[in-house]
Amino acid sequence: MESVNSRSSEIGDGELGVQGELVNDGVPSSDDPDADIVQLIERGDHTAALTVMMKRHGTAVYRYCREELHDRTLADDVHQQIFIEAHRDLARFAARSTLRTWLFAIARHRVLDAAKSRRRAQAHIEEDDTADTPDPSPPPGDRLDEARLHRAMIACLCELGDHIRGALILRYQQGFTFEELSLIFKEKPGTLQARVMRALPLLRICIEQRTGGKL
Amino acid sequence: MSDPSDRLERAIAQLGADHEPPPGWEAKVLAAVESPRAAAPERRPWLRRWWPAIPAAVLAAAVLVVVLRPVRPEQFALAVTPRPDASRGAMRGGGGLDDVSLGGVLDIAVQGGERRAVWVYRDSRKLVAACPRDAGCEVIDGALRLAWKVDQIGKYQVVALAGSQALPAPTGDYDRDLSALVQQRIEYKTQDVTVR
Repeated sequence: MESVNSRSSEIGDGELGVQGELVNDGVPSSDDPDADIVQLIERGDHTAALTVMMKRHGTAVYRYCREELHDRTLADDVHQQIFIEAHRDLARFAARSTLRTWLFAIARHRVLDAAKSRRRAQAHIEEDDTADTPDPSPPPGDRLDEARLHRAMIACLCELGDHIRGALILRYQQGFTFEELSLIFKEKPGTLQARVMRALPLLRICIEQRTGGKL
Repeated sequence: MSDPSDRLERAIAQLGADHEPPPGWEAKVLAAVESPRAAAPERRPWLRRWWPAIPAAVLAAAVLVVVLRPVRPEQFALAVTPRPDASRGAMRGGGGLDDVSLGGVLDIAVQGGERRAVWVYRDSRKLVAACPRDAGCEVIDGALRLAWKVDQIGKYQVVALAGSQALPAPTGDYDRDLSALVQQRIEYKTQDVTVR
């Protein structure tokens, strides 16, 4: 499978043992790009650690929030809350995973909580409401252009369940390996890999049906 | 022509590529993580022994506050008032700060504090005015004032700061400047203005 960013290609997916047992378990290695932040945490300089963490991972976490929530105001709030919570819990960071994985685990929980609260309040206002915008029908069999693919992608991801969408976004948008995802989702890497592999054809069918074009 | 699966994966990877966090978010996070620490009361053994005296102490403090109030320095406040461009008529819409017309003037006033400053940024990037450094800044009736003519469309951020110590000079980078204020615990207020 093609890696989506330089980081994932460096780390690789690791090798799955029987029943998804981890061989490369996503724990920080000596070349962890966040080793400097971990050092600040160990020194107790949590404000400095937070500052570097925000600079380095702020945009990636924000993009994840936006794609999961599709509501800019809510994503803005959740995004800030994630870093506030990360700062609060820095003292408990035990380096059992990389800092980035740990941060996205927090992000995932906060995003799920926000989505749940929104559903409860029945106040889901789709700001980026391309998901509900009917796609103008192209000539049948035409190859999809990037703009139509993007619109249909958002709509089809919204139709998937939280767990499938989350795994797809974190795998391909954020470049996490299945081993790292297993630490975020608390599920076996093999389970996640199977889930993602099952979801891709469904996503493709959904996009092609929605647009009438070919990928 | 690329493989459909690759294209699908690349399309997911591209999701949100044009999304950036809102300007000033880092400063807000830093402010949030600093404020509870400052406000959190520390538990002390003497508090347990002296708790019966607390109501009397609170009452005495309240009396002191009332007595001393008239001589305390003015409270820190930022006021941004749009003035329409006389040659072009009134500002659009209802005159709210979110809708100021090009060519109008923003009357900015900061009260309170021994030292005060005003920084105005365009689109959270470029510093376009700074008081008391720039010409046009003046102190009238104890308030630092700037009448600033808006000559370019955009989103503007007005930052007012006050304190008793020397105030920092702006670097011109909105996020960095606000982060510095938070870290130096300098009181500040912001107001966003959209010029259309």
